[in-house]
Amino acid sequence: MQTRLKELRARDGLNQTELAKLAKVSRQTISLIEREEFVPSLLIAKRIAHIFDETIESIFIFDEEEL
Amino acid sequence: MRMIIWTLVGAVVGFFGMYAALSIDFKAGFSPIGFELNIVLIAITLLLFVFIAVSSTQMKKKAGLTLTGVDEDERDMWQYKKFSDLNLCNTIALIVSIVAIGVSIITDQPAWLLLTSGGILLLSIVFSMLVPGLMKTVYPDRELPSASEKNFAKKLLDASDEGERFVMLQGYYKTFNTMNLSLIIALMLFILYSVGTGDSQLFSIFIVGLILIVTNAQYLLTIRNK
Repeated sequence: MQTRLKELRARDGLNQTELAKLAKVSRQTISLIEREEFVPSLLIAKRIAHIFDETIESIFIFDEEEL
Repeated sequence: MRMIIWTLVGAVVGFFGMYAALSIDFKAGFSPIGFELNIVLIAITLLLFVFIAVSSTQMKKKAGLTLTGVDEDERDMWQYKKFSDLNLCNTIALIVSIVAIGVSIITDQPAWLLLTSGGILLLSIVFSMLVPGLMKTVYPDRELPSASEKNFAKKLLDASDEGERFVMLQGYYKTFNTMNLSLIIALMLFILYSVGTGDSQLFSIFIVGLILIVTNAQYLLTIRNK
């Protein structure tokens, strides 16, 4: 899975700690998602998508083989 | 064919390894160096106490700063790593101080050394009760359990989010495997020591064996019943 989280954070001027607070998770979780080491649950993905006003699919991009 | 070769190699290495181990003179034991060993263990614990005290102060100071942007993220990363280091030092201090008092009692050290070891152990226990409380300083916004609460570890796990649990799972998995392997090696060493010195370590062998059975059964029953 690839993610546009870092790019979107930069766009909206948010640091990891601020995004973590908005998404009601820890900064560590945001960092793990950004480093593409952890695939978030649907609930967290939905919260993040809502914060950036984007769709889940546009933030979390999966390869064809992964689906 | 490859498996047979590896089995034969293992057998040869095992035979010579065991032969070499049995030829070591275990008889010397720890008694002649009990005093020095006790002093070294106390010194290690004291150094760890200094690290814990200094790091706690640094963490409290940093927590009070108002930061923004990347600096805020870096502070969080620093606090997280420091807190992990503190926990590790605290655990090591507790274990080393238990070993120190054990050495004091078993090798029949002078009363002052026994009392010092006891004091160090007491301090380690106090530190292990205080260190988890630092979490509230690092994460004031989070609803974390207090260290004095019943089922603290379970409540802390419940309070963690999915990313943190993912990291913990990786840690626990590695720990479980290392613990299993280490305890099996410990069993072998106890047997070797018993044979080498003539001092029966059967009590320790039974205890370690029991720990291995209980922990593995607990893990397997937990995943089996889900």
